[in-house]
Order: sequence, then C-alpha cells, then structure tokens
Amino acid sequence: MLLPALLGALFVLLPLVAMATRVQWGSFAELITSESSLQALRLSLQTSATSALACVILGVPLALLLARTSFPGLSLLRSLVLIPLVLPPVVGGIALLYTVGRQGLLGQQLELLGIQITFSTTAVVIAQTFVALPFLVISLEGALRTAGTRYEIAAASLGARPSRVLATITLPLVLPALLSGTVLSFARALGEFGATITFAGSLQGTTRTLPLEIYLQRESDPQAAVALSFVLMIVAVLIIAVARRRVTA
Amino acid sequence: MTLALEATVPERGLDVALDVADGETLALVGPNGAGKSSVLSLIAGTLRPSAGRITLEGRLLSTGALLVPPHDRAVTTLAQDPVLFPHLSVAQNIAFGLRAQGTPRRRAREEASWWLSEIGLGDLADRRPSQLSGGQAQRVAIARALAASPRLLLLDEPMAALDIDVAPALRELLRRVLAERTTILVTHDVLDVVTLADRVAVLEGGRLVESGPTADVLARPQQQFTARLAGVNLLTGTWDGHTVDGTLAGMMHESVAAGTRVRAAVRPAHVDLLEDDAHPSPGTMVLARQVTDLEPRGDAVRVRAGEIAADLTPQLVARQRLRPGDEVRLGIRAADVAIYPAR
Repeated sequence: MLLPALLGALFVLLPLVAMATRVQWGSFAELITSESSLQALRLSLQTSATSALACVILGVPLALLLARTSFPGLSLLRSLVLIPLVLPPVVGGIALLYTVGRQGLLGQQLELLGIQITFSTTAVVIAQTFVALPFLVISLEGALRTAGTRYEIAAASLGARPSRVLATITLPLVLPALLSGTVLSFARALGEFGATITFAGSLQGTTRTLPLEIYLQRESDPQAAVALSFVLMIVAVLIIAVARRRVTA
Repeated sequence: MTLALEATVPERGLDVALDVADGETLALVGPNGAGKSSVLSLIAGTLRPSAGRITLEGRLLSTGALLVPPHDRAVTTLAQDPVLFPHLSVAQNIAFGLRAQGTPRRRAREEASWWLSEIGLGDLADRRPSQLSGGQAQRVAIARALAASPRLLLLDEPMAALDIDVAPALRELLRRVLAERTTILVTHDVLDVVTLADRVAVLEGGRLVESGPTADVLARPQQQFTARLAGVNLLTGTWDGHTVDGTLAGMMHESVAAGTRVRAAVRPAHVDLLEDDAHPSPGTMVLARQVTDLEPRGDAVRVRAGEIAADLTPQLVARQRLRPGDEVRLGIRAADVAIYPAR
C-alpha cells in the first residue's frame, strides 16, 4: 500500500523537480521579463480573471438551477454542463469556431452587427470560460445541495422574498465553495491551451497567452520556455494553497 | 375568525376544516401520520390543496388554483429544530424578519435587543448560533419568529428536541409571549396543551375528529387518542337509564334518554384490583379482564387488561404476583366514573 502511494506522489512530484533543475537561475529574471513574455503573462492574467468572472456570472445561476429546481431534462442538463470537462480542449475550440466563427452558427449574425470574435482577446476569454465553467458549477452545486433548503424555508417563513433569501442566506452560506470554485476556474483558464490556439489563434499581445508563448518558445528558446513554465507552476501551487485554505476554513 | 381552513389533499388522505380565532392558541394533536404536518404545510404555503380555501384575516391564501407564496403570507413557522442562520449573529437572526419586511436597520436592531432581554439572553447578542446551547437557540428562534410579527404563528413541536430540564422555562416563555397571539401548536405533550392552548383540535386519519375548549376536551374525551392524552380510560356503550351496557355505573350530569350512545371516563389510578375472593364494597362495579401487560409508571405499576389500564401499587402487584395472561377482577367506584353522551 505504502509503496504504490509513494510512487504515486513521486509520479506527480518528479517532473516538477526535473523541470525546476533545468531553470537557468542566472538569467531567470531576464528570460521571464522579455517583451513577449511579459505581454503573454499580462494577457493570461487579464483573460483568466475575466473568464473567472464570467464563470461566476454564468455559473451561479446554472448551479442554482441544477440544485434548487426540478424539471424534465434536469439530469440531462447536468450531464451537458460537464461536457467541457471531458471534451478534448481542441475539440472545444473547433466547436466554438463553428458557433461564433465567421462561418459559424451565430457568426453571420454577429458579422452583420460588426462583431468579429475569432482571433480576438474576446475569443480567448470565451475559450477559457467554456473549459473552466464546469469547475465552478460542480463545486457550487455540491455546496448548495449540502447546505439544503431548510435555512431558505425558514427565511421565507420570516417574510423574506426570494431575491432577499438568495442574497442574505443562500449565497453567504455557500461563499467558501463559491470562492474555491472561482479560484479553480481561474486556474483552469490560466492553463488553457488547446481551445485557445484552435479558436483564438496565437497573435502576440492579443491572443497569445502564457501557455501558448511557452509552447512557441520551446522551439526557438528552450531556456525561456522552462523559465516561464516555472512561473506557471508557482502560480498553480499558490492557487492550490489558496483553494485548500478556503475549503478547510 | 382569523384563520379559516377548509382543504382536501387526496394524495395525503387529508380532508380537514378548522378555524382559529383572533389571539387564540389552538393545539393540534393526533397520532403520528394523522396529517398534522400536512395541515401546517397547507397554512405555511408549502403544500397546495387539491380543493378548498384558506383565509387569514379575510385574505385568501390558498385555493385549489391559487397559492400565495410562503414569504407573502405573514405566517411564520417554528419547528423543533431552531434553524438559526449560522452565518449571522444572534441579534441579526432576530432582526432578520424585520429587515426582510423593510424595517430600517436601526429600528430592527433596537427591536432585536428588546427581544433579547425579553428572552433573557441580553448578553448574547453578538454570539453565533453555534455558540448557543439547545435551549438558548430555541429561545432565539422564538424571538426571531415573534419579532417578524406574523399574523399567525405555527409551532411544530417546539419543545420536542429539548432536554427535559430546559423545557419548563421555555414553556413558561411561550405561555407569556403567546398570550395575545394567534397560534397553532402541534404537540404530543399534554403539558403543552394544558399550559398553552385555549382550544384543542384532534386530527386522526386526515380528518378532524374532535375539537373544543381545552378543559372540555380533556374532561370529556371522545376519542381513544384524546383519552390517552387526558390520561383516562375511555369506554363506549349504550346508556340503559342507570348503567352503561348493564355493567358500568357512573356520574351522569345531564339527562340522557335510554338507548343513547355514551362514553365513560375513569382514571387508571381509580381502577382497583380486587384481591382473590374479596367482596366489592357497595357502589363498586366489577369487570373481569385478562392482564395484557405491565409497565412502570412513576410510583405505580400500570397494568393493562384489555381496554382498561389500572395504576396499582408495586406492593399490590407483588402480592398478587401479576403476570400477563392472569385473570383479574377490576373494581371501579361509580363516583369515579364520568359518563357523557358520545358525539
């Protein structure tokens, strides 16, 4: 039992250590502060934060719908929401392309309105939100189910209308789950690669996020790729620390 | 009439009509599964009747077609679990209903602190519910429910989950605060009924089988359930002018024609066991029965024999070596039997 467990832990840890040993610490600062790296980092943080916000705006109502209502097709909807979680991101990117791309389902209508989404920063945010949304919905729906409806029933019995119950009872009670769900979806957005490169392309400063930058640098400047990877790894570790603190709190 | 309810819910076997007058406390009692909780759900607005109508102070709340939502009924429920909001302080919990109904923050806070001293917890305003004892939490829940000033308060076994040593103080608090409030109280405890209720309604199998002022219902129970609540044996038979079914005589305070169905109530403590071949004293009737079981009852032993329970002294039970299955003669003095018409 102990040996496979240790092997498992090693399996996760070893590649990270291996990568860290290849970082050229002497030129580390220089490597990660190059013009293109900084642009990619800034873009990644901006788009991931926006995506996390979009996940909250779309995911909270969706989680409430899944946890608090019942209608025919509810379990089907619950399965559908999880699809981005298991769908290969590149497939998600293609699906988005055929939705809002120039030839897509909504593309022509959007074009008539003068809106072009593909290969823009908006496309990056859409791709990231698409893959990150299930993280928030799952975490929040579980918390809503665990919290149950007894507090909400008590609040209504005291005369609170549904909007007030939502704002003063339901959401405060699931706040820890909402925060950890938001952090997780931010993390997923930050690491997004496949859907982004398919749907948004890789234009420096516009759609080339940090994972894309790393992938490109790997060819031309492996040292920079390793340094940037290390930065992303630190961010991931920080996110896990924050999310775990919230969950245990 | 403050609350008037008439409703059927076929899937729960419920078909009930009841009224509660302004300022009155009605105790709703009945066996488990009689439909008491369904009646409360109907009034609270979480259950829609198939047919019927529920009005509160003249306002229509429910019909088969209309259902005013729970938050808009001015009906507040307090159950055995206090359900205090865990993320709010005690004072914020009490102020919740007031704030929800638009009372300004400052006034809500003042009223909450008035309620805190009313329930004797003035120094716990800033505590979280998790830091309260069960009795304290239920006090806060009572204050929170009353502070919302509902037109009708529904109490669903409010003391069932409390330790017996805190229940008396809480019952006294309820007696004080419910005095002028229109309330329906669901309970299994006769002490709640006699201390809190003006009237009693007995529900059995989804129907109202008996109701009336508390003292009347307990003095002249019509149903076995009510008789158990009142702590008496209840026998039903036909009045022949002098006795019930020729076997039981008793005190009849009204003139009743022979042939009328009557009920006879006698306390278990007034049922005696005739030892061996002892002769009954004059005015004592003798009923032959078989012992079904024995159980401890305070300082007595309750002996059940058929439909009759007798509270006997442990000494007597020991002397007679009573066992289930024994044939016994039970003596009941006519002066201890109340006889009244069946309804």
